[in-house]
Amino acid sequence: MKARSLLMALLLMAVLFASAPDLVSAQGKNACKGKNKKNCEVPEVPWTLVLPIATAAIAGGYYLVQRRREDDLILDR
Amino acid sequence: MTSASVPLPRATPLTFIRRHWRLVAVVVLGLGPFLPSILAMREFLLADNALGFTPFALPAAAYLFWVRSRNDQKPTDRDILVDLFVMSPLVVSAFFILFITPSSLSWYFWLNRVDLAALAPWATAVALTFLGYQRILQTWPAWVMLIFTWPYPAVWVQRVLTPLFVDVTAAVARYSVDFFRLPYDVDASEPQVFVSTHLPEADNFVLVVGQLCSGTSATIGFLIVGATLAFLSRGSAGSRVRWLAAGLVLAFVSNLIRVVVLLTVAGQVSRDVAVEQVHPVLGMVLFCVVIVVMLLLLKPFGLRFDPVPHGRRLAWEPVAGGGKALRLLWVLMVAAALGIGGGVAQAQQFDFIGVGDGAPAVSVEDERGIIPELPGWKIIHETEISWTDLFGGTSRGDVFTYYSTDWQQLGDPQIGVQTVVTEDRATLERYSLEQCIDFHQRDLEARRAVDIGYGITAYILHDTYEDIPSSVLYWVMPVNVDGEVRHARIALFGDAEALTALPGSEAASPQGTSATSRFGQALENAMDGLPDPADDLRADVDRGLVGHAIAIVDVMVQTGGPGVLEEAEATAAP
Repeated sequence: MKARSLLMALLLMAVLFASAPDLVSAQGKNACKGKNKKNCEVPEVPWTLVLPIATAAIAGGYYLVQRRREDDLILDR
Repeated sequence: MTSASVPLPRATPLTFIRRHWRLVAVVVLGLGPFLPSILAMREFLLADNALGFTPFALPAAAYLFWVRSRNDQKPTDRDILVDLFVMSPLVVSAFFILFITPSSLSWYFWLNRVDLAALAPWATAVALTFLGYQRILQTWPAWVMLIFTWPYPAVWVQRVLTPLFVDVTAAVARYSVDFFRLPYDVDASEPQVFVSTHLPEADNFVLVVGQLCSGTSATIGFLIVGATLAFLSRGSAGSRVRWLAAGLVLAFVSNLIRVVVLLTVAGQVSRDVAVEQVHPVLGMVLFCVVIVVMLLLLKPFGLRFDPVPHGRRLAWEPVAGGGKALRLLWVLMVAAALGIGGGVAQAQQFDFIGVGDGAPAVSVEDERGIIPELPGWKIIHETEISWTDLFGGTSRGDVFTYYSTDWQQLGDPQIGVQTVVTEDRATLERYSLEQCIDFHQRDLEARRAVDIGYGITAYILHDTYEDIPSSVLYWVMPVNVDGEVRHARIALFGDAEALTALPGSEAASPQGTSATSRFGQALENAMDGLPDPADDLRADVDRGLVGHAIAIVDVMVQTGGPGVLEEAEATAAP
C-alpha cells in the first residue's frame, strides 16, 4: 500500500510537472518572435510557472503524509 | 458492489486492445489535432501574470480524467441519440471557432488565442462519441478543467479585477505606511504612487502599486490551482465552493502582506533588494504558504484530499449499444478530426504575432510613428482630430494623405488616410465607418470583406460623397504602444477623380493568409445582406486601395511597425 501511495504521489507530481520542459524552448529564440524586442523581456525565472509546480509538490507531499497517518491509525486499532 | 466482485476479461493482447483502444482514440482524435496550438502555449509559461497558469490546466485535466475514470459500477448501455444530441453542438461550435471566426477577428483571433477555445468542445465531443455521455458525466471535472486551457477568460477576469484590486491594495499600503511610519509620501491625486522621503533628494525613488502588485495573478492562479485541488477532494459541492472562496480571499490577503513587506524593505533596506528579490520570491513563498494552509483547511471544511483513482472498471471499457450507427459515427469523427486538425494548422498562420509584444509598434507621441512610409509615396500629415469624446481620453485620431512622389495635380495618385488609435476596442465597433456613413445621411451602397495579407480582413465600403463615387477601405488591428496593446483603425479613402495606384504598378497579392480566413471572408460576403462592390467605376479605385493596404500591412509586419522606426531615428539622432 505504501509503494502504491508513493507511486500515486510521484505520478501526481510528474503529470503536473509536464509543462516544465516546454520552458526551455520557450526561452529560446522565439520568445520575442524574433522582432520588436522592445518591451519584450524574458524573465530568467518564470515565477508564475513555479507556482503550479510547487503546488503539485506540496499536494503530493500532503497526500503522502495523510496516507501515512491513516495507515498508522489502522495499525493502532 | 465491491471491487472484488467485478469480473474482468482475461488479459490477452486482444482483450487489452479491446479494453483500451477507446482511450487512445480520445487522446489521438481529441487532443492530437490541437498539438500545434498546445505547443504554442509555451509562450504563456513566461508570462508574469495569470496567463502563466493556463498551460497547467491541460495536465491537470488529464490527471482529473485519470482519477475519475475508474469506478466499480456496472456500465450502462450506450444511448447514441443522447450522445448525438450533446455532441453535435460541440462539434459545430469547434468548427465555427476554427473556420469562421479567424476572418472576422483577424489578429485578435491569435491575440485572444481563440483557437484554444475550440479545444474543450472538440475533445468533449470526441469523448462523447467514443465513451458515451455517462462516462463524460462521471469524469466531468476533467472537461471543466479543459476549458481553463483557453487563456482569455483568465486574462479577461484579470483585466476586470485589476482596478478594484489596485485600489484596495493601495489603500492597505497607505494605511500600513501610516501605521508603521514608513518613509513615503502619497499624493492624494495619485493614491497608488509611493514616493520615498528618507534619502537625499536625487536618490529618492517611486513605487507604484500596479497590476503586478494588485494580487490578481495570485488570486486567479489560486482559482485554477485550487479548483484542481477541490476536484481531487471528496466532500459536498457546497464545501468545495466555500473552501475555494476562502482560498481566493487568502490568496488576495497574502498579496497585501507582500506589498506591505515590499514597502518596508524598500524603505529600510534598499529599493533594488525589494523590487528585484523580495517582490518575486516573496510572492512565490506566500503562494506556497497559501497552498499549505488551504490543504490543512480541507478537513475543517469537511473535505478529504483523495487524488487517486478507485475501482477496477475503466471509463473507456467497451459497453453494449450503438451498433452500426455508432461505428459510422466513429468514422465520421475521424474525418472531422482531420478537418479540425486542418483548422488548427491554419490558425498557426498568426503565430508570428506573439501575445501582445508581436503587434506592430505605433508611436502615438508623434504622427510620424503611426503609419509607415511606402516606396513611391510620400506622407503628408494633414491634421490631428480631437475624437477623445468618442474613442476615449487616451485615443488619438489623425488624417494623412499619401501622394505619389511625382504628384503634380488633382487626378495624380493620392490616397486619404484616417487613423484612430484607442485603448478601448469596443469604441471602434460602436463608432464604425459604416455608422459614420449612415450618420452623415449617405447611403452605404456596397460592402465587401477583402484579404489584405497576414490574416487581416479589411472592408471596402462604397458611398457617394459630394456627388463623387467614393470608396473606403478600413481594417482594425492590435498595435503595440509602449508595450501596451492598443487598437488601431486605419481607413484609406479614394474616389473616382484620382488614381489610387502608381501608374504601371502590378496588382499586389496578399501574403500569408490561410484558407480559413478566405473561407470566412467569402461566407461573410455571402451572408451580410449588402451588395458587393461590382461597378466598374470604382473597380480601379478599390484595386489601388487594396494594394496600398497590402503594402502597409506588409511593411508593418516586416519592420515591426512605424513606431519602431521612429524610435530608431530618435536613438540615432545626436
